Amino acid sequence: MRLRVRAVRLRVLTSQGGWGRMVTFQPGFNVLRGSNSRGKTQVVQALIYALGLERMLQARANAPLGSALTSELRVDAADDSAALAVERSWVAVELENDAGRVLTSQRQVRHNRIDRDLARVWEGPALTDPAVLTTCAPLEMFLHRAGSATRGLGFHKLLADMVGWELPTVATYTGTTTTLYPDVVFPFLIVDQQSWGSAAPRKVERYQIREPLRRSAEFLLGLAGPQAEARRAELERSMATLRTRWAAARSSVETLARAVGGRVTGVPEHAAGAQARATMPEPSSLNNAQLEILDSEEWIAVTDVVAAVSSQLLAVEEAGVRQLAPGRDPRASQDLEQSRSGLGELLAAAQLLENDLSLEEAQLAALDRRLIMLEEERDRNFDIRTLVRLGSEVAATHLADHNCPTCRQSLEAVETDGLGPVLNVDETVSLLNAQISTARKMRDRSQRAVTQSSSAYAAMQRQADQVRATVRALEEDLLAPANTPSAGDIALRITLQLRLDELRRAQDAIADQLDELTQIANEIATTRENLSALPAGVPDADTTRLDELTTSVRTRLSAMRFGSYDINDVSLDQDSLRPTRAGFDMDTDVSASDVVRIKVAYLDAVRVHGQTGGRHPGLLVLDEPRQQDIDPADYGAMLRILANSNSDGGQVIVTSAAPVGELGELLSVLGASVTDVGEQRLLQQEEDTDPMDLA
Amino acid sequence: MPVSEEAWTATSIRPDVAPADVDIVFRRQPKPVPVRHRLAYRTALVVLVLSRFNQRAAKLTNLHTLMWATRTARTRRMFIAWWEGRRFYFTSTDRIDPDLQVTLNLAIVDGLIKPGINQSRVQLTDLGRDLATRMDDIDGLLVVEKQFLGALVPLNDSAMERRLAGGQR
Repeated sequence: MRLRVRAVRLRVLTSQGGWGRMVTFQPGFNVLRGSNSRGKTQVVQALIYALGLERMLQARANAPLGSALTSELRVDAADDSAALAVERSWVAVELENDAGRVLTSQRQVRHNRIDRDLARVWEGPALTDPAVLTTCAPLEMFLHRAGSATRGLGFHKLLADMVGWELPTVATYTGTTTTLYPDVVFPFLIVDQQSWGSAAPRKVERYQIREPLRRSAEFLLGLAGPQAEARRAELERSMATLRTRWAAARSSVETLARAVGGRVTGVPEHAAGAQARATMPEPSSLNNAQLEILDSEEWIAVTDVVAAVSSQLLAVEEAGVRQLAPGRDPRASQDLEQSRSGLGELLAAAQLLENDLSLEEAQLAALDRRLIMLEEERDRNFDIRTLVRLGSEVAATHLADHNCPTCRQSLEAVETDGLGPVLNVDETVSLLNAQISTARKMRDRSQRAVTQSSSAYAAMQRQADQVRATVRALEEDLLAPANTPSAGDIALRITLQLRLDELRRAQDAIADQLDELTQIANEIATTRENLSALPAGVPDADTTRLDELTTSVRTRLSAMRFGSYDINDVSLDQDSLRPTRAGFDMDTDVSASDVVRIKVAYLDAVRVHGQTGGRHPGLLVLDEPRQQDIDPADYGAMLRILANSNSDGGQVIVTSAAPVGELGELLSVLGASVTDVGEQRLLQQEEDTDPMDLA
Repeated sequence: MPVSEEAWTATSIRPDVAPADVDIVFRRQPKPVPVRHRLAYRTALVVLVLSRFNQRAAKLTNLHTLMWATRTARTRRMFIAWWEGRRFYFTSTDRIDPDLQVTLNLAIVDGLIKPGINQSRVQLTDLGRDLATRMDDIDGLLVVEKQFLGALVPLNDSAMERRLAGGQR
């Protein structure tokens, strides 16, 4: 949605009454002319301040305005040195979007009672039509506080709504995400006088946003790639959550199984689709998942074990509890002997298994350490490719060409000192990838062995506990008087009943968990399908758009007679999306006047391409682009380019101290709306009271 | 020169048959160079470490210590234990890795760093700061190193000496 500035108002109250100025602007090309030191820059600064964007100029939210609005006002009286102390001051801006909505925002610059982080906002043209002040009450909105770009009473939320922006979420250096705040984007729309030293827009770093200029350019140009990337990041986050849920549910199933001396088979470690693959898999099926119980060193399906325990329990119940024979009960003696022998065998097997388990766990830990080391080494080798490119960009020659910067001989001998023939970086990465692949397979095997042994060990311990209980009951039988009920029989009956109950409970609980796992598997498959549907790499539409932008920048540079080198050497840096010449810093590699040409060409090209099909509101404010004694003919060419805003639906505001004679005829031809301050100071004496003054 | 199948069969199965006249060439298997010997990595790490120091300048011994500390998970754990005061040293040895000296010389010639007024310190130049900023701008570059150094900032020479000596924070 387009945005244009209708008027900017500055107002100062002194002991000698009110002073101020309102400057109005038209759609299209506007020039605010005035001699040096008359206050043109104050209008641009007032615009920035009234929009609450001063943090794009400096980290602290200090008013960027001059002393005339903050401390003392020098007036053009007979005595030129007379200065009036500023008692109160404020600035205001009137904005309009192409839906016809008009807003007026007022901010106090100096006031002893009103917080400067408050903006008073009228829904209407309060500056150009004071009747609005009587019909519409102002809304007080806040700035520079958490939520100022997202909450209902946040002024930057209102500003974003006015422009039709849905501010995207972007990554920060700290690994979190944040909103792409308007003061990060606005340096593409407003160029203050101090920023002409760099060809790029001001980089606002206070929010720790990664690559703020790139993010802003992508946003304004409406590139599709970043949207797909944002969607990809969102889906990857969902996938990470689903993976965690899968691991937790799977772990829960294992715990339930282990509690009854069992294991669960048929539940894969990762659900189908949890990892990216070339082919789209079907959701993991858990139809074959089952609980198995260790019995005589063999894993048996739980249904078989339940059937066996049930029939055993039935048999015991039918046999009833026998009375012990007088003297030493022979059957109890026999049973005790067998149980003790079985317990001994079980403990011996458990001891062997424990030894194996310790070795396997040590091997697993060693493989984990090895994998971390190999992956770090591989990633660092991978980084070398990027570092070589960065070395070429910052002209660190030994990084870029691998030669000694003094003698120009290869540095290979320094790196490979005494190693003999060596692999290059790419070959090293391949070798490390192969080693990582092997180590991962070994780790997976080792992990499976540990899980198996661990389950078996737990099951054996559990069996041993049961046998111990039987042994204790049989020992009691041997010491008990004749004709008493057999404690061994009673214990066996209770044990079988308890076992049956716990196996059935475990079956039910595991069935519930398997249902949840099936649901997660389906969600994982759907998420993977959505991820696969996203376009890979840079979409063709973005490439075309960036090519067109590059062409537009070059066309503008050609018209302004860019002279530092062939304009075809100027391109857009793929990482930052700012103008670049491969391997060189544009700010120092071209003449100072060409820095200005590049900046104007780039920002105007972004404006034109962004307002058609992007999110650029079509507004561009340039505070005195006639820098560095730029040739008048080239400055004329610059104004001609900017004057296209008369026909393309945008609004360009330029301040200029160029002489009237030099500008007059050209501006007339270009159809510019000119406000000429002339030799006067910007702030002139006004009425002592203004309806927008606050007591 | 490839060995013909006939000659191979004759020499391996029929020792009485005179061996064919073939050249046997022994070649050394090329080895991977550990990445910490790669100059691009070493230079980048020097720039990254210095960029985390106050005034972007550090003593050579501290630079050496941090270059060593970033090397593996084990060295990082050891350093953090020292940094947090769970370990301390009884004696100290001022030592500079010879490889570090070579790296510093190259970085100085390339204008990434400059010797401090005190010769035992080095400082990042504007070019070095630019490289550090560009490295910070790229996700996924030197991730482990950035995370490790990020846990230590703000870094300065006196903090290093104070903390590593006795764990005072």
